[in-house]
Amino acid sequence: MKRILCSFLISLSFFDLFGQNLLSQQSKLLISAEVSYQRMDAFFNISVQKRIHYFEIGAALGTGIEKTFFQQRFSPHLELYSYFNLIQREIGRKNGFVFGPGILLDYTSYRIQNTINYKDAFLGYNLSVGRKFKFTNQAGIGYMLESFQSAENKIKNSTLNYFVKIGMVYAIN
Amino acid sequence: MRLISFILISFLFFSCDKESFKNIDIIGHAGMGLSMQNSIYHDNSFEAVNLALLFQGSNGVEVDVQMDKKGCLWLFHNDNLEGETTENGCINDKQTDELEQVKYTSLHNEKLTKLQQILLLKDSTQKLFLDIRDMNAFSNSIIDINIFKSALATLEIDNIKNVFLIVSNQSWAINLAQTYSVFYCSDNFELSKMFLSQNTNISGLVIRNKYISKKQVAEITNLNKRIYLFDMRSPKGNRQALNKNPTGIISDDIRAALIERN
Repeated sequence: MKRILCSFLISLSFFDLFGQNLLSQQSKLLISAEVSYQRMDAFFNISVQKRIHYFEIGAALGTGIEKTFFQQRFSPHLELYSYFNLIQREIGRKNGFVFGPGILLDYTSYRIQNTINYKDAFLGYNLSVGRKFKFTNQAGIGYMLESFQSAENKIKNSTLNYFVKIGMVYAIN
Repeated sequence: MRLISFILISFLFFSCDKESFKNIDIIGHAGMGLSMQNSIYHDNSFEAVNLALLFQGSNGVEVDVQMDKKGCLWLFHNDNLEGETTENGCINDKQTDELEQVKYTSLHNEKLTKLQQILLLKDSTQKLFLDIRDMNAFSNSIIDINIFKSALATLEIDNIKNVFLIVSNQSWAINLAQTYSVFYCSDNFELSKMFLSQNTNISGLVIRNKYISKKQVAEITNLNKRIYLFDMRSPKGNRQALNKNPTGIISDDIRAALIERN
């Protein structure tokens, strides 16, 4: 266990050397518009994220595209995520490259006769390229819990889920 | 002011009243759908059938029924077990105890399900459609109908309310209709219409959505027959099928179908 911890800390300092202070120091608050695809629906999200040292922490609010726009059934979607910027590089003067693993938690719901809820937990990666405007790609796999109230009792079903997300990020400061 | 008027008129123009489909049955195809990514469980498994019946507003399920070597009835869609399960070969060539060990190679490793296991899952208003497979996939021949009938008789299906058989073999349909409520299944509308008009004891037709128009659906209902459409895998497909005003739709996406109907 100690070895793993030591190698993790060494790798952090290694990436810090190469990553310098570049991207993390220049833009701390970011907003983004993203489209993500999951097992149950595709989603459009608006997200706000904050960069704190190596971590990007964010929250997104969105809606299920198929349910809301094609079936006229509002399907709100909430996400919380945190990514660890493992690799940060400058590409030329104007661009940067960030890559790292992270976790994403989300919640979705919509109504049929009763409300159907989905809770997901994912492990994934974040990749972003650019500086002021960035292109971002995230993907991951995880666990999904579907729950709803049947005529008699509360039903819960779980299975594997995945997400693939692309978006545009704007660094406010 | 002009802008506001324009927005309001546009809103009125583009907003539309959703047609009411309240009287149309929503049936889950093989439980929660065949090979659907949003189906949590494998088609024709106990878990999938159970889940499809638990959604409020669900009017029932359709399952595929095959007979093993000993005359026990199983829920399974494909001709061959390989690819979908841990076993090779066909249902028709297996003993009951062999099939009892078989599991789907899906995420949840659901066990192969006997028809007997799901008969009491539905409530009295929900419908159970049994898609009867008359072919022995192993010998590539038609199964002896009397053996199949005795397998059905063992389960006393005729005593359970709202159980219907879907049969694509005309002679089987006529024979089984003497005891059970039978729906004829075909992709050929003209042939089906002729068969239904000649056989008054056949309850109705089960046909793919793409092979029938709204007008043709009305032609079947005018014969005092019920009609169920299947092979809808998207909200758009469900909507198209509901617009034809059939008795019901057998949808691969029951959640989406329930939204469309409601």
